[in-house]
Amino acid sequence: MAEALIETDALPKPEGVALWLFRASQLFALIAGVLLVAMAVMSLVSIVGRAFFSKPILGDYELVQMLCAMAVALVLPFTHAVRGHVIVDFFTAGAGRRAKLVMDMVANLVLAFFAFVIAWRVTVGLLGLRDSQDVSMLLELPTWWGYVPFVPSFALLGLISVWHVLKDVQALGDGASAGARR
Amino acid sequence: MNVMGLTGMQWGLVIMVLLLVLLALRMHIGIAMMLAGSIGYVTMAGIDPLLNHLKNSAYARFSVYDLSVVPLFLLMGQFATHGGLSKALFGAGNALIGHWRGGMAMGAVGACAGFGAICGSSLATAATMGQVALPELKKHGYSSSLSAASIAAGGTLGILIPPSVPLVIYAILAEQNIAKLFMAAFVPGILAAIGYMIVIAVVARLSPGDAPAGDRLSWGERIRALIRVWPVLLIFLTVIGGIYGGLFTPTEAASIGTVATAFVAWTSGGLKGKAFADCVYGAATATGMIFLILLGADVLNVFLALAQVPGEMATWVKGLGLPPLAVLLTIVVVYLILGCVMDSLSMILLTIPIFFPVIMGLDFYGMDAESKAIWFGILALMVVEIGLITPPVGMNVFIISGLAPGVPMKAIFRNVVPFLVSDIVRIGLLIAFPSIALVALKL
Repeated sequence: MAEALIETDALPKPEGVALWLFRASQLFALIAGVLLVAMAVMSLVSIVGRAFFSKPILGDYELVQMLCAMAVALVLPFTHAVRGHVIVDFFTAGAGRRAKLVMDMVANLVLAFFAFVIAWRVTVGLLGLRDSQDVSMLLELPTWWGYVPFVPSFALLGLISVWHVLKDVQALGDGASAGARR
Repeated sequence: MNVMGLTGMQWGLVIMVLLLVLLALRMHIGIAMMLAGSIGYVTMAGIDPLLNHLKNSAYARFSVYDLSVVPLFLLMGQFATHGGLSKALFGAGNALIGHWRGGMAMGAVGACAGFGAICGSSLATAATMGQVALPELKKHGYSSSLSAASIAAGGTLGILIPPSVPLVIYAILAEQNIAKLFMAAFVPGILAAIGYMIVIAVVARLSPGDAPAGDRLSWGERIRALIRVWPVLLIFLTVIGGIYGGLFTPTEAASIGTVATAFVAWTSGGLKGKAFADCVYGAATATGMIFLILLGADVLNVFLALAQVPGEMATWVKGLGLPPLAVLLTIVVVYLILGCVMDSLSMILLTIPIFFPVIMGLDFYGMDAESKAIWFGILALMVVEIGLITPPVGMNVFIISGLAPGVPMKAIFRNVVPFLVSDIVRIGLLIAFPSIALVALKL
């Protein structure tokens, strides 16, 4: 298995700032798609070059590694925007709506925490690599280039988590007031 | 190293229990692994080493060369779906054996196997074949629960028949050769497809009303239907043949496959308008899900290694002096239980770092280390894949029931049982005769 089951109907409709976060995550995912296709075409050209002209693209391995890492980092926010990061919901299937909302809120808080921590740590790592002028073996590309998309991507992942937290809090409030009216 | 008077191994177990609790409380699987791993790591080594590790671990994890096949295979599956290849495959299967009793359902299983050969994901296989085959089967009078169960089971061929995303992850965790693992998965994958077809044949004999025979086609029509699947055949031969033959790396093969399926989808008009974006979004969601779990598993595994859990566990199990097969059967049972509540990839990531050293420390039929590693990989893949069709959270069954409104989930699960029997028989055969997997390596 490789995908989460996504019930698009159950997703909260983004509006206002959230809509911009959602659109940003879509844009990141599309950039990732383009990077992946570019990477595939590059590999293909390299194979053809190697097979027919015994001249592969120099440093194709390095490019694949860097492009793939960038693309993967860029898709993380979109996956979360459509609530595609999997959870085990078997044990809580029978729990009440409010209990589930509270648990989801906590889970999203923890996710936001780690996303922001990683965004911060990757920035530190990036600056360190830039200062030490670390470069790749064949193409001598600066290693820190690969780190660049990680920073906005993990930050956006954190923000989308915060959005989910706010949605959950709001849903809890709605439930409470609906209960009071009844 | 001691934490609060506990040995590393005991502390590791405490953290694993914490992890299971977090998972049960609806925390995202990757994040639960990250949190549990971080707590374990920080209590043993302090916060600075962890912060230091996180500076480079995300990039290091995501830039592993062999992992780049994962997003490529997922994108390839999306293009294949949009290119109408699933329809062509079902048409061909149908043309060949549709006139047998239960033949159309068998054709659907065969088409699942064919689609699995260009797609590394079971859910994608089940979803696309379900869309194509369910309406046709219904039109020809097949009972909806049998059709749904056949395709839910057939969908598991998506990861069994190479390319297979979980097998790539296993290869990386166990430091094994991806090409050899793909090759080893081939015969068991074909056996699985044959097993499912036999199940359908038996069900069709027992209750003929569920699975009538379809129309017999002329050889001309059959050949025309077969010609329509040539792109699948060509892509499969290039991708898998190229990997097996050592012509190119799995990443290069996946690149060729991605470009080729994109071309087929484009020429058949399947990439018009928003369709390209939809392909990317579909692949992006699956990729993001997998790599967040990978990132979490990385932190957890760093902790487990620090606490020396895998090594001590292996020594402990070896010291028990149990027959190796008893240990293996225990692991299989653990997988079957976990598979009821977890997805296959999380299971592989969670358990292989611990189970793999245990298996490698035991003797099975005097196999050498590599054969043992490959055999166990195929076995683990087959066992975790069963989780896709077992209640209560068989993902494939969920997908199919979403495509077949009006068919109760219970009815599908009931009809899945005979397919499960065939799975269990196949697992038993593979345990008893490892050469089922290893024979392809000796060719």
